[in-house]
Amino acid sequence: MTEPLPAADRRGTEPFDETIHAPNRLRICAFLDAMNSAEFSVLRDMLGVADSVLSKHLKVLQDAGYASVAKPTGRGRVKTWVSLTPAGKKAYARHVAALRALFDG
Amino acid sequence: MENDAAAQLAAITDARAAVADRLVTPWWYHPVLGLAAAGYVVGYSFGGTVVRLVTVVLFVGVAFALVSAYKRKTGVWVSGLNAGRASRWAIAMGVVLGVVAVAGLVVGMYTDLRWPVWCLAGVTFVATVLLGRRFDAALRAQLRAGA
Repeated sequence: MTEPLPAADRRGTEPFDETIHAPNRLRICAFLDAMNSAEFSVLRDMLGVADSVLSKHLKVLQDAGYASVAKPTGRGRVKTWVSLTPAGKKAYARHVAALRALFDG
Repeated sequence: MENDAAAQLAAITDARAAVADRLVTPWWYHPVLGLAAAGYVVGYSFGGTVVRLVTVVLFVGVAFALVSAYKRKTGVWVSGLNAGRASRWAIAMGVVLGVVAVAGLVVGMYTDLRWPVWCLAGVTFVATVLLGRRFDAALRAQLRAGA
């Protein structure tokens, strides 16, 4: 029985990143890659999902070391800010390169 | 598989367009920054050590307050130095402010003339507003251009 080839070998390109590949996580990464940081509610509204759904996706990204979460204290209600880590930006760039390579054939 | 890639690239384009939609700088942002920078040039050129120190502290305080207000209003933050090709406008603004600050300092140290400093302050205000708006426009266009 032969092992399935890694995605990269099948396509001869950079591999898909399974952590980023999920549609909502891909949109989160695409949104955060274009900026330094975004507030939790902005991400939630962009995706059109419940707080709990976004929290789960962010947890996956955090566990992979791709996203960081900060809760700066100050006046008023504490808000949660999310940003991509350098590792997350690299992984996202690799994933987009793999998508483009596949799309361009 | 290609259809999946196309769908994912389309999702990326949509997400970047959503960022562009959120990056609407309040109309007062660059004028206030320009006034603070112009005040910095005037204070630094005319004042003694204490006035210069106060001028720097005030300028930094205003800059922090503007960033905080922007983040509160838009829910996002993009650093001028982390914006791809659009960063050239932010760098140009920094270069102009640096050159004007040095020119103002030289005028203040070696002459008794006041009008050149007021002219430099005017240049600072106009450059901050114009280059700031060019930065915003370039960043939004870049984000809407695709993945």
